[in-house]
Amino acid sequence: MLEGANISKFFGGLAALKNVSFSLNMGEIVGLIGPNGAGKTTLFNVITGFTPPSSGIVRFKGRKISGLKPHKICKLGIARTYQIVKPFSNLTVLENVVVGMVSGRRKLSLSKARSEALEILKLVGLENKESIQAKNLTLMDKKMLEFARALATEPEVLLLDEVCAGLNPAEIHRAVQLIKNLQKQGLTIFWIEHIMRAIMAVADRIIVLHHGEKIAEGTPREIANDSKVIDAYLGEKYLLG
Amino acid sequence: MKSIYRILVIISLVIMVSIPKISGADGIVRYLLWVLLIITLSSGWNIIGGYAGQFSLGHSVFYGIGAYIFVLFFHSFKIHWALSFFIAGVFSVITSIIVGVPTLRLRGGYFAVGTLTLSEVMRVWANNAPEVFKGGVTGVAVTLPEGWSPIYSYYLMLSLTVVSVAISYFVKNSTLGLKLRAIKDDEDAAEGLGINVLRCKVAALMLSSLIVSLAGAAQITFTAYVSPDSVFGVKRSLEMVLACLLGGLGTLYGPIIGGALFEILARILWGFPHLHLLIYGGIIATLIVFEPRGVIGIADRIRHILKSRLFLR
Repeated sequence: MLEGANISKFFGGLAALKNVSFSLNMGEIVGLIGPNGAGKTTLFNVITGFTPPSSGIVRFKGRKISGLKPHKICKLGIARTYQIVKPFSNLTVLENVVVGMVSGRRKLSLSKARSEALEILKLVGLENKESIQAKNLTLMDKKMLEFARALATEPEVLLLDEVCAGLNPAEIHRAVQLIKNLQKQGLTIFWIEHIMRAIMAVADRIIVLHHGEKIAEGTPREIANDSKVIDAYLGEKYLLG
Repeated sequence: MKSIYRILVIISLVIMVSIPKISGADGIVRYLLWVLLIITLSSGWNIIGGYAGQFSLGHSVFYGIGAYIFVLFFHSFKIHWALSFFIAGVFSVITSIIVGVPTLRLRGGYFAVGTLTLSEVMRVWANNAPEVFKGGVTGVAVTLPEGWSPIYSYYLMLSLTVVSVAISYFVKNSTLGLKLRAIKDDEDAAEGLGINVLRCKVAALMLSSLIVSLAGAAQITFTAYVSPDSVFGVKRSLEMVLACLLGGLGTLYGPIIGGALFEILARILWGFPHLHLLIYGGIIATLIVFEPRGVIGIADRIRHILKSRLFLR
């Protein structure tokens, strides 16, 4: 579905990504973990077109997408959320989602987009906050709004950048449930996360980055027992419950 | 609330249309011409500067091009004023694409400085190239058609104002308007959601420059004069921004209120001929820091305070 081959990205002399390859199958949840500065968000930026790769190629459904502009990549069916939330702060919650609907793949009319946006807001639990300005939301609600906005573009692949960071256990539970539901609806999900409890529970596969290189890939259980991953990131043997 | 606005708009239109019938060609009509001009300019600027948040400080480029193209066709080639008017608009829209595609890739302050530079380049060029810009430094006195009265200019300006406010209204309520507001808040997030940011910004600049250039052409019919400094000067660019900020950046009625206030302010500042630009700058800085939504923003705040007081009781 979505694959990257030998992706490298240099910022000056610094290699943020070195020869990273990955591939996502349809309907899969793939986790992307690693220490801070490992290049996880850079990889997302490369996939979505915000930073073109120095070398390597990204393909989506067999078509080369590296080199396309972000808005084109979004229209092909790849949407993302941001680690540092980027809501349109002066727009209402509903308008935020409507923006995704009128400019994503479907280009709905404003009135049609409004009614469909309400459906999506219900899905993420923001249905009673539709007319609040986005800047006045709590962090949890802002993260849910990012979800809703990304879903509004009707993606086939959803890239999630630390959706659980800064949330309390109950909120993490809600976010994880939502991600599981999206998988059931047929979405393919690529998910950066530091909260191991959350990602180990739902990911089909996990990719580990360290200093820009892929050091491991496998099922959550394999990753938890991988000595390289334990050295670089997990710190001690991570026990799966 | 909506219907109150609608009635107010109709009443003020009726008043505006009937004023020349009552007062004749002098006095108030001559004053209102300037008010209408600044309202048109600032609501044109508002589309790119207010809705899209792209703070152009070089809109005098479009104003000047409108004026000079109009003079060229109407005064030099003796073409009918309406056709010259039309040509001026077309020419400015083409210019806006040429100017917009490179400069709108710049963000925030860089765009402001870029457009400011451009308007200075135009002014200096116009001052030094009399073969292109008729009259050179001294400018040109334009002969108006036989029997042209300020009342004609008044109705021309009034219809232009109505058209520009109507364009603003439709943009604000369209998908383009929503996309522009999204771009204003976060360009990257907008791009990531499938918005072609550059194309939307260029579209906004085209509409904006069309309105501003037509206003630049229309003012020739009552000033009967054009010179590089009078149309390409920084002062013109700043006036549009200031009027918009006074009334309310990014609002539909802001430029109307702001334009009217601005003319009053300008009359007061006539008393300080060498200080007026300094004072404009001070007001712009103060408004941006404390209340970019100007009079409308302040009114909103007061309404909120009153509401919460009433609610507490």
